[in-house]
Amino acid sequence: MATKKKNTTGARLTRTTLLHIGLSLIALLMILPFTWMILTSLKLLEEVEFDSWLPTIFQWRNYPDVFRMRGIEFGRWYWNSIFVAAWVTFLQVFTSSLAAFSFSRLEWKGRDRVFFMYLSTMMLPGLVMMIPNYQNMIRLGLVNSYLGLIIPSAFSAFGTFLMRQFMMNIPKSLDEAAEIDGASKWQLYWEIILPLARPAMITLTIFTFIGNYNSMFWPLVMMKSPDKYTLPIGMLAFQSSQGQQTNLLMAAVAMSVLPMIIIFILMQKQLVKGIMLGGVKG
Amino acid sequence: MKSNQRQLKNVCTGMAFLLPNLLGFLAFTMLPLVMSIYMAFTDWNLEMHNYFRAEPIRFVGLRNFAQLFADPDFGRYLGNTFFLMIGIPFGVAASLGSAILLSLEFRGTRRFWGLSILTALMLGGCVILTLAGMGATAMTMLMASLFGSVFFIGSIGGRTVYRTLFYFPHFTSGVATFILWKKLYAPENGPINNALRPLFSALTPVAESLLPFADGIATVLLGLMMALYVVMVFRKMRRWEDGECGHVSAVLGMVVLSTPPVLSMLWVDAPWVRVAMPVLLAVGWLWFAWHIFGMKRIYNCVLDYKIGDSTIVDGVAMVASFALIGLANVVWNLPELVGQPEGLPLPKWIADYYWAKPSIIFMGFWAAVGSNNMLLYLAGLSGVPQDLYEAADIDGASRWQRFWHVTWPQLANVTFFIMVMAIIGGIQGGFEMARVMTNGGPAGSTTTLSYYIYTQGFATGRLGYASAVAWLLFLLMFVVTMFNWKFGNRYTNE
Amino acid sequence: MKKIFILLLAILIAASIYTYLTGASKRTDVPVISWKSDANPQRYEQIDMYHKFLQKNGVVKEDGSPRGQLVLDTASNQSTLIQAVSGMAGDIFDCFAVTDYAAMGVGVDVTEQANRNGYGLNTTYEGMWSQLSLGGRQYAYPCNGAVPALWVNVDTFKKYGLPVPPQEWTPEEFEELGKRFVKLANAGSRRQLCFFVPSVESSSFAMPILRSMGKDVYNETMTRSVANTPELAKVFELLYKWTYEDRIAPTAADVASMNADATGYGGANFSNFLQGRYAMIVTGRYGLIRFREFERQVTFSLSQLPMYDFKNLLITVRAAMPYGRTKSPELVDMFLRFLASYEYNKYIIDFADGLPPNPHIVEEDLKQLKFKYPREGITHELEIGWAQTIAIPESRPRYLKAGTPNWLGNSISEFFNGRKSAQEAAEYVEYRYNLEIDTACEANPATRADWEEQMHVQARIDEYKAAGKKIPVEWISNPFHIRYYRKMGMLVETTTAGAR
Repeated sequence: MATKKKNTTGARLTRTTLLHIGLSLIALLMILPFTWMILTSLKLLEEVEFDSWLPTIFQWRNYPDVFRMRGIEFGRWYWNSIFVAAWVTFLQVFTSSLAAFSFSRLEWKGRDRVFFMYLSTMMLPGLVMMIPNYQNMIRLGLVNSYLGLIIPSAFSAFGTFLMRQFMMNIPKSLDEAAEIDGASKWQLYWEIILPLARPAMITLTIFTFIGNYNSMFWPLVMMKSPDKYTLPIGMLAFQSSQGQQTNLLMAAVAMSVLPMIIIFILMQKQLVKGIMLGGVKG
Repeated sequence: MKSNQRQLKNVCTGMAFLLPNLLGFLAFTMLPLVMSIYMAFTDWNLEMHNYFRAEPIRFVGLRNFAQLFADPDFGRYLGNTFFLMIGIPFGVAASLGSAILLSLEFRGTRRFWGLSILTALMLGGCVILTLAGMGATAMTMLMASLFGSVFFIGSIGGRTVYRTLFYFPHFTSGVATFILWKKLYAPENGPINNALRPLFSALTPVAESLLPFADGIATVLLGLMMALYVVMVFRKMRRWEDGECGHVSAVLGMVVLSTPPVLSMLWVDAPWVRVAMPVLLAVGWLWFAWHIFGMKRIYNCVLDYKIGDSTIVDGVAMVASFALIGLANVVWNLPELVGQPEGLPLPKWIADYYWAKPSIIFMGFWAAVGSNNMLLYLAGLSGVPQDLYEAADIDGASRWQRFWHVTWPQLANVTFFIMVMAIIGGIQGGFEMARVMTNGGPAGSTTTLSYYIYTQGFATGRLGYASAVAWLLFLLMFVVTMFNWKFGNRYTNE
Repeated sequence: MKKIFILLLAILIAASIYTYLTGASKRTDVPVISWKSDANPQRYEQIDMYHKFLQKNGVVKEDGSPRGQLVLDTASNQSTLIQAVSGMAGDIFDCFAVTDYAAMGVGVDVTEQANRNGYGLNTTYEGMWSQLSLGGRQYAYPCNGAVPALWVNVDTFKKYGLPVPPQEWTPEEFEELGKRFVKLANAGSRRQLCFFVPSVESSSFAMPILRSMGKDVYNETMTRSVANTPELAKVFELLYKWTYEDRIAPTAADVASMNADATGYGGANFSNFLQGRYAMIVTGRYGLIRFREFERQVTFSLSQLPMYDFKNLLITVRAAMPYGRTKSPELVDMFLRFLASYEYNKYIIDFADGLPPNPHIVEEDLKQLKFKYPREGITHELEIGWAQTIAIPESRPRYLKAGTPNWLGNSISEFFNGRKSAQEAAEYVEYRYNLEIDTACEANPATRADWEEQMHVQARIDEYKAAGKKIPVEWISNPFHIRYYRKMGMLVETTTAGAR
């Protein structure tokens, strides 16, 4: 058996090639739906019926047409989604890093108990909280406002957990050195720990941004005016009113997936690291 | 005194940093949590308790729960939720498989590059040429060139490229991809059925030739299912005798194994099933009772030993049995299916009552292959000590043995974590798919508990009732998770 | 770190300001009427018209611009109900379920001012009354309405040499012509693309047929569902036969596979109809908004849904309902007066935006339409005539919760998916609705008391019926039974019956 390891180059090459073919086939299956999506979005409506995936003439104007449809404020929804997700991400990363700093670098009585409370709520289904949260939003008059979307999502137990796991691994000696230099706790956080925790922050940023960009339940119950819709519920409205216009629908789908693909390609290294760190996508 | 002061100061500093997050946490997590418990026991209803009418909120005790169990469709919704979770083990297995493939040794050293590119070009050319001989359509060209380019990029970029491509579906999964799949599933002209159509028309004669034996085949399939049951029960009892399986595991295994025969009585129309299945079950359980109560074990073991074996091995057997039952049902209906003028009918996917759930499972599978689970497995695989493999090689282990005795136990922790998360996600899942793709239909076949909560709470305004359902869902999750922790942990440590 | 932080914060704040400034629903000092409807060029014209009406009647700000704003809400959203009771509606909202909202306390009782200012119930269709009022009090006024019937694309029938459907027909006649149509229209295509009617898997198609046999889903007082009848099962079987055996209506799978241009008003069904894929379509005259835009001129005629002896059609109303939290009641009043005005009704008549809320003041204009639009012929007079004679609203017990699922429709799909037999499906409708009523009574003591009282009335009705005596009209609250018994001569009319 041990001889198996010392294969000739030729046999090894065959093996590698076979492996590549297998992996390519799986990868092909993964991207086929996306391929169909792009190709269909470039078709004429009549061509959608055809068996062939390829459009006869590429209808690039389908894309601007999506923005021009009456009653479909696609551009606005795009903006809203990114706007809300950006605020949420910013706030969440900030508050999570503060809390994580407190949980990982400071010693205080009852710390672990509070942290355990945080952890245990992570297991609760979001639905349990949604209903009273909605009731509270009514009381606060935040229904159908951006604030109502942003604020409840700005605090996350998961984000705190992720950041804490990372900060725990930063050597304690740094704190001591800083203390000897006379740095305050805030300086320690702001000037030493936070820059070092950048990888975790980037990961959390990606998770939170994508999670919010994609979230559907909360905006669905919260937002009433079409000009305040985010993309997921906007797409839902698009589908329910113009669902049979397959080519334009696919153009809209492609455009709404695009930011995610860009972020993914740019950030994939940090993302992969982050998943190993925190275990799950938020 | 001084240390006390110091402690107080520490708490203050700690709290100061925590405060922004803690306030939000209290306001948007803890407070709703408490409110939710309260609401579940009241008749809180937006119809009576809103901006315009403030009738007193009445405490109704367990009435919401009673109503829930009285709802004739509740069982079905619960069943739908569990049915959709059948996809989880397949998804996890697929991500393990792809992680293993990705972790295999295929260094893209420079020498390989050139060769790989050459292979890619040759392969692409070959595919195109062969297909051209059979009548080159744009479609085959497209497929071949797509494959060629994936292969090409893959051989240059190696692991990262494949990992990226595998991960796409999971990363983008959301309303947009659900809409995409809805279109893919279009029964008459969607790409999936367009691709299946030639296959189905080719299969029509085969199916027709099978017609005379349809009953026989179906009976054989059900027979296989019954045989599987007998074998598994026998195995279980043997293990129990050998001290390889505790009492809890035995009971659990029996329950899991008995589900398919019980349900087959409901699902299968053939009259003999209603006789055969009870007999089968009686035999199984008598065999079980005889062992447990009538026999003395040679080797004893603790009560909850090998729980994992029951859940995983017997679970797999259960899924296989369900598959057999389904297949038997299909064969039984063959005459009807073939009788159609256009030959074997294509599946109607999400427009069909029976296909809707499998359709959603397939879609979930597509997104699950290259998910976070794959990345976690990749990390786990890189952590398996090489000397274990070397030791296995010295022992002359086969590939399969290597996997089963080295890789799998080493990954048990990862698997455990993944399963816990997947089950938690599965129980509360299904809302978005149902809302986007089917609106819970056709005829309620994709209405899961979470979708039910949404319609009750947010479309009808029965907040109290919806809270009660949400808490029931939590209870369910809690039980499953606790079970996992208690026994799964032991399994992983074995 | 500090720089990045401040930069990000600055960008976000700038973005917030931009978002606030560009939002359509900026806070205005004028009342906002959000109008739930399809995106449709004519709606925008009506908005302009309302603004002009305000100016004409002196409801203006200092600068002469109208002191009121109509905003179109085009997206369908299941959460409308909870948003409305959460204080999130416009000053007037446009809705189909006035009674539900009124029961929740969301509405305003406008009975007195309505009679004073000329938009009382008696100015509009009798068939709509039960949908505009609750307990004899008026809460809303119609924006428009519809009597959904079969609009026939006459050209398509001529093309295949088929006779144009008659105004009234039985299900048998309907089926016979339908079979001929789909056979001719789909000759030689791989899959069936043309259908006689759009999907019939709906309660609004089933209801008139059921009622034509003298049955309804609820009893006379609407305290109990009595859907479990052989008649309803027969209706279900008819619909199934048309969909799966005769293939004159598309299945769910057919619909899921259609591609159509749906940019315009009314969505894909209208496109398919105009292109001849559907020979007929169930709609009100508002469909003409889209039909007139279509590049090819089509000749229309109008037929009732196929049915048996007792001819009836459904009437739906889109009502404008003053919202309980309005800050400017006089403007709301103004809007309702606008709806009853000659200008508005003339507009509705001319531009075919459904039924005019106040048909009496536009009778003359109505008669002119057949000369103005010869291709549409007498369709207008027919529909408005039906609205005043045979149209009956859907019966909806006040004991049902708002947002109760459409169990009739659900049962049809249970049956269509082979989950239940037709009779079981009918039984299920009754069972489900009764369960809903029980739940509602259990939840609210006031509802329960009312329900029990009505149950006594029902017992007396049953007694009278068994004895063959005539029933006093004020005992009956189900709009169907009032009409049906009146036709069958089973009613005692009293003078106080007007309120119903």
